[in-house]
Amino acid sequence: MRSFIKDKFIDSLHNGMQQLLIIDNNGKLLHSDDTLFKTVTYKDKSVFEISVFVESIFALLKNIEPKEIYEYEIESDIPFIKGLHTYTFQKSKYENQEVIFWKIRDISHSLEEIKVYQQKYNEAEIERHLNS
Amino acid sequence: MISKKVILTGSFGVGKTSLFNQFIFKTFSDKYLTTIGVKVNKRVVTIDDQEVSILLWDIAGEISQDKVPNSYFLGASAIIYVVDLNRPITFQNAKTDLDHLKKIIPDSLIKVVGNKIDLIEEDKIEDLKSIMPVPCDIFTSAKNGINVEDLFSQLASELLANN
Ligand SMILES: Nc1nc2c(ncn2[C@@H]2O[C@H](COP(=O)(O)OP(=O)(O)OP(=O)(O)O)[C@@H](O)[C@H]2O)c(=O)[nH]1
Ligand SMILES: [Mg+2]
Repeated sequence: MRSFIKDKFIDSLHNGMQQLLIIDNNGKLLHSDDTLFKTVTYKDKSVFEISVFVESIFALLKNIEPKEIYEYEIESDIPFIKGLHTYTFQKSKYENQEVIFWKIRDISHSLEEIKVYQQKYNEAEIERHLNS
Repeated sequence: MISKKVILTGSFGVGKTSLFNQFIFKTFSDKYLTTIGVKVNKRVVTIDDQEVSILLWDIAGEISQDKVPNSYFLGASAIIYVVDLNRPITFQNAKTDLDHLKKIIPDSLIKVVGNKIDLIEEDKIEDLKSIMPVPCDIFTSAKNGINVEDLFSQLASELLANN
């Protein structure tokens, strides 16, 4: 979403149910609390089978600094959950190994409102560009 | 097979999602539905028996690229910077935008794409070229598919060559 819209909705972007997934440095799923979706069929498999998004930035995630947090807003790329989510990634430790914490927060409650807002704003601007 | 993250960026309404849909699904819609969150999908492109999996990102357009969080660009092997040939304001910031992007990911390929070529009369193209702050690498139409396959094959070849 556009940055000024993000600022406007910042509170609601931090509300919503959240799932924690723990993945190892090869992308294997080690643990999930299954708050939003069940992962039983993916246990010990690659999370790339769940998310193309994670596949696309995995090389980057493996090398993030310990204190860094990467956050993205995603229109679902996971087949069994629909809507708008934030994905955050952070390095951590789990059972004595270096892992990546992947948190998925469901912010779909804000999706319609954000969409209407950004759509109206962009359409008005485009109209103005075409008439100037 | 090698996999490469490629990101579509530029101002809003320039046709990023339409290029994404044309490349991934071979579909087009005249209706404008602005993008909110990142959408990612992949397609394998074959160049001389070598395969490249293009992991394509479509993001929400911004009038200037410094409004997009830097983390969105990190890890990208290529950036497709899209402008709308029908709205010169969308290429006004091209020079500063490209400088900004090169700073964030210096090693990434950048393609400047002039989209909506179907809306431009042939004898107007030269005039347009003369007012562009940076030259376009390719002119496309996401609507009728002109040069969309070419754009991604060129990109795939260069990604393979750089690998
Ligand atoms: N004639 C024509 N129209 C196009 C072309 N590409 C896109 N459009 C139209 O332009 C409008 C905007 O296209 P989108 O693909 O949604 O633009 P976008 O860059 O993704 O916009 P944001 O998601 O808001 O950043 C839509 O109405 C499309 O149908 C094209 O090549 N030719
Ligand atoms: Mg879009």
